[in-house]
Amino acid sequence: MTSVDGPVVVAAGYTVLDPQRWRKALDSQAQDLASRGVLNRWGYQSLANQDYVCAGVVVDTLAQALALLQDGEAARWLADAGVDEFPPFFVGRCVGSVEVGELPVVDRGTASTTFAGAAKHIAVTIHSVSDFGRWLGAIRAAAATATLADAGVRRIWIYRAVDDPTEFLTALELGSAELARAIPRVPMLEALLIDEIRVAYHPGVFVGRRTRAGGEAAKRHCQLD
Amino acid sequence: MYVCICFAVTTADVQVVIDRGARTTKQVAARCAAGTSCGKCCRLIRRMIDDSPEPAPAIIAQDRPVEEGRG
Repeated sequence: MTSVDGPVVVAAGYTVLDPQRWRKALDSQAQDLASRGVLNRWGYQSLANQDYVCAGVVVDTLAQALALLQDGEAARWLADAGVDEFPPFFVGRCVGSVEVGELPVVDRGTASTTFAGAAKHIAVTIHSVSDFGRWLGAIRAAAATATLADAGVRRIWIYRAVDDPTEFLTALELGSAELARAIPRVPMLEALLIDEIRVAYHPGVFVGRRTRAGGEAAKRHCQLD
Repeated sequence: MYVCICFAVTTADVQVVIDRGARTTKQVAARCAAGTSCGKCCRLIRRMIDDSPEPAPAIIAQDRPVEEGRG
């Protein structure tokens, strides 16, 4: 399974010195980013700790994503946003999403240029998967059960890292803040996600609420085999 | 995951350098450039070093000596 084209997500979770300053920086960068291939930018603030955030951009191509990182643009923005210690960045492409319900629908043809469909509440984890086919099968089976639907999971988005084919970012669209807070305690998710985590230097599961930025609904091609 | 965004150095790249004997951020920098521009990733690299066991002498011997970098 590979996705060779489609928008690239650049994402990171990190601590900010001042959440208000970070939100202001997130809202103020729009103008010249579009000319650099940025299709969307987004930010989520942790429900458990308002100083901890997960944010990023969706870019048209991998070259544009790496250029944003390497030419100092990302470093300047992080400094403006009050980020003292830079986090590791996930860079990857959406390989598809699975709708949670009685008969889960696997979206093979499109993926939003928003991150995780611009869901208001999300849970995000970055983890390794040794056998992607087996893991995806487990995700699909889990999506068909009432457990995930009852836990408020609406859709599961899967992103694969460009630098490591065994590394994934999985984002869950969640129904409400109340359900989101309970997500880390859902046993099935532990089995599917947390047990798979082998990527160091990234917190286990981020659960957060979207800030003002983001929300674009354009669609781009990607594939899920 | 990209540890050093200035030079697009990944966690895997840095871990290889550490596994081959680098025990300081300067040594990591000298081998893969990570941390040599803005330096904001040095604390993360330090944690990676601290979390990694000392490599076996045979592994170090296979590699050329690590030189101190600019940091």
